[in-house]
Amino acid sequence: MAVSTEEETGSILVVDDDRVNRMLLSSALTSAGHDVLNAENGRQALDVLRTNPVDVVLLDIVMPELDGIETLEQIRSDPALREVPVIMISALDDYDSVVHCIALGAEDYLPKPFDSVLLHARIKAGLNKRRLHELERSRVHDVFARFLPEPIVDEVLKRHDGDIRLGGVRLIGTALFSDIRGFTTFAESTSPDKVIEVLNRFFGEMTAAVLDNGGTIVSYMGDGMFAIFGAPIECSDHASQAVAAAREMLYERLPRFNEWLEASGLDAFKMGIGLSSGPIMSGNIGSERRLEYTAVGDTVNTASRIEAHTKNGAHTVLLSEETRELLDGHDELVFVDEIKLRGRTAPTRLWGLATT
Amino acid sequence: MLDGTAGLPTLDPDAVRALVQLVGDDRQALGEIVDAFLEDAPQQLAELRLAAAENDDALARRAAHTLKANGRTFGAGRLASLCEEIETAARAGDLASARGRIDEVDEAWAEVEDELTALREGEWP
Repeated sequence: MAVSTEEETGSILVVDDDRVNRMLLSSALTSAGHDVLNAENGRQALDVLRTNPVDVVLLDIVMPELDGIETLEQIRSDPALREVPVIMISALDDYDSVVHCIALGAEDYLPKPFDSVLLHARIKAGLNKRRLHELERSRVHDVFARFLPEPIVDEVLKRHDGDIRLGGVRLIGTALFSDIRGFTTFAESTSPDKVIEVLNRFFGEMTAAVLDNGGTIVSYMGDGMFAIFGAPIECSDHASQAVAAAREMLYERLPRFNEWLEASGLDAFKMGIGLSSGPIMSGNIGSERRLEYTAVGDTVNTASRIEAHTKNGAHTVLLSEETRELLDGHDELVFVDEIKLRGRTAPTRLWGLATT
Repeated sequence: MLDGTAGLPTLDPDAVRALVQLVGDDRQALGEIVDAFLEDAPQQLAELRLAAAENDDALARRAAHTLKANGRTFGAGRLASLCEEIETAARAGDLASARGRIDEVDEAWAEVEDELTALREGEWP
């Protein structure tokens, strides 16, 4: 459906077992420019709804097979359908059923016999509600697309039906931390405007490398960046994705960024990247007023500490044994060190990315 | 029994005019809708008779409900009112009390059928 508040026509599903009523409503709606779909009972209506885009449903109450009340209940309990406005069709002498349907989430009702003005007013209100929901969904999509890759945004929205509150999930994924070497010294000797300009340029490049490889940006911390792969939507090749992102950051994005820095008369930057794989808990935290997507757990802490370790040696990218075990062998790795990380009893074996 | 439906119109011209307005004055669509009513109503009448013979409240209720709704759509006051009585009785599980009304529904339908046929031949109000 086109997202526009200007358009006044849409796709309307008429559900009624009475042929005369279906024909009447279809003619009335078609003459007003709407596309009309028909169903003779609730079961057919659900089939149509699951296979066609529908903006508003006109639903009769007394029907064989599946009646209007049961149909409404099924529409409202299906995440893919529950936002479609439903207008009940009813004779005024069945007022109790109408009240029951409104309580179940029907938008409104249209009394029989049909009044032309009322029919079009109800349809217009239903279409407006539908369009507002689509606009909200597209706004949520835009917000999410800043830190999630496009296909994951679509998947998240599909699973949560546009609800911005991502539930907490525990998945096996890979955490990536990156940091610029010597940034504090640079920042102290550079004007604030320039520092922000340089940071934005840097994060622009690095964010693209993460998103292009299927990762999710969790946060920027000063000159550091935290991303995860394999969450909020699970995927099996998160370790390979993370290593591919690290390669792109280091061998494509950083050189391009440094060229720009040097052209501006500044010294090139170096950076460090740490990766670790394992269980990651992710979800939204915060309050009603400010929500933030985050990921926590031992895997995240380990990746962060591994990144810190890149300061000590020659390797710019370090990854844990757990990440190495998940790789398909395409990445050439060299054993670097076995270190004891705070909070871990067993030593952590660190591997470095062989330079290509 | 006093017949409260005697003075009700066979087809109310105001209701028919409202129908014309509803379908955006599409005479072809109106013709098809009248044809559908002319075809379907005898089936619903047959169902009413069957329901009465077999004491099937649910069948009587559904048939009377549809006939009532379509009767109201065309402003067929007497037909709709008789069907409403039968529907109410059937819903209360007391179809027997309305059995006598079924003959009257046949009569009312015969009158409606004549006027619908006239409409079909182009005599729209």
